[in-house]
Formats: sequence, structure tokens, C-alpha cells
Amino acid sequence: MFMSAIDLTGEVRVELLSRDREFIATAPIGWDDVEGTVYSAFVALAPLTGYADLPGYELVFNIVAADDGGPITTYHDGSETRHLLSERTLRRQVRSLILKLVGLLIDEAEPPLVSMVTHNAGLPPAALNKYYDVCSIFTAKGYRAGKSDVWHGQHIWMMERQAEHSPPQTY
Amino acid sequence: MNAPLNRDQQIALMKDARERHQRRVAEWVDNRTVREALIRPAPGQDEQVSYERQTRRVACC
Repeated sequence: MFMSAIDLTGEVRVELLSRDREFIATAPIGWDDVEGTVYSAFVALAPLTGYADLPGYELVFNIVAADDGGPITTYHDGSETRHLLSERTLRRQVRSLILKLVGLLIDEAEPPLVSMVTHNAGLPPAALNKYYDVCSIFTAKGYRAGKSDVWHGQHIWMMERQAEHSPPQTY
Repeated sequence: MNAPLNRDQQIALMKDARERHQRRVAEWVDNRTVREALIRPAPGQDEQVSYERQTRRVACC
């Protein structure tokens, strides 16, 4: 059974890791009380060089299931984690936590250009909302941010840091 | 306003997003420091009532 690690105060333990312009923020959201599996929100900001050889960084976020010695499983889609996060309140808390982690990474890395692409194609509109929410975090932090046209069911957002004191802009 | 990536670059990113994400995440979680952060017990998970333990020597005969 999934046990939430987000207590009534809403406080969680966040780990910030960085190496070679890669930044990772992770925070436990709960555990399985039988298997001992730990579930964490995982957000990473890393250069695209070596992967797509394009300028800027890529933002990736997901839920990770890990236990000592076992394989690590990642969930990129809300439909995959619905069995864990069955309560709407918990889903909201996890989404809020992921947005907080995104904000922490922006402050830490101060990336000049960030791209964010959906992991799976053909997501329903409701599933895209969290990507829009992530985009709005960038806008609030002074980035020019927006979404481009869909391609074969895939969506892409781009966020570019503006000079200080520029008003928020979209594409 | 112009987007920072042109359309060809955008499509290049979208085309192999799933494979790229899986490759990157696999590399990250394979790192010992990252793995340790992910397997560390969540707050509340390791809270167990512990037993008080005493060791005594007693005469048996």
C-alpha cells in the first residue's frame, strides 16, 4: 500500500545534486509499506549537448520508484501513477512539489535556454496541464516561454531567459 | 516573436524524446550518488518502535 511522505505541514526532504552543468532535484513522495519501495519526484535540468546536440538545456521530470538493490522504475505519465496517487489531494501535492523542484533548479542553474518535450505522444489535454504549469514557473522567473506546434502528437515548450527587469513574454 | 529553436530543431527534439529521456534517466539513476538519494527511506518510512536491549550475566547453577 502506498504511504504518503508528504506530511500535514507540506514539508518534504529535497536533495539537490549537480555535476558538469547537470542539475537534479529529487524528493520522496511516499513508499510502499510492504515492498519498501521509495517513490520520489525527480526533476533534472541538463545540457542537450551529446544527446540532441542542440543549444540549451532540457528539463525532464517524472516519478521514480526505487528500492535497495532492485531496479529503478520511472513513470513519466500520470496514467502510470494513478494507482499510487489515487487521491486527488495527493496528486495536487505531488504536482506542487514538482513545480517547487523546477523553481529550485532554475534558481540553481540559471539556464539561458530550456526545452521541455512530452515523453509520450498523444497525451490528453488534462495531462498537458502540468507542462503548462512548469512553463508558468519559468515565466514567473523572468523567462520568455511558450509552446510550439504539435508534431505527431508530441509537444514542445521553450523557455528563454530574458534580461533582468524585462516584462514576461510568450512566443 | 521568433522561437529560440527553429522548427527543424524542435522536431529533432520531439522525434526521439522518449528514447532520449529513457537513456538520460537510466544514466542518472545508474550513478551511485543519485541512486543513494532515491533509495534513502522516505520521512516516516523508517520510524519503528525499537526495543530496549539489555545484556546481563546470570548465574545458572
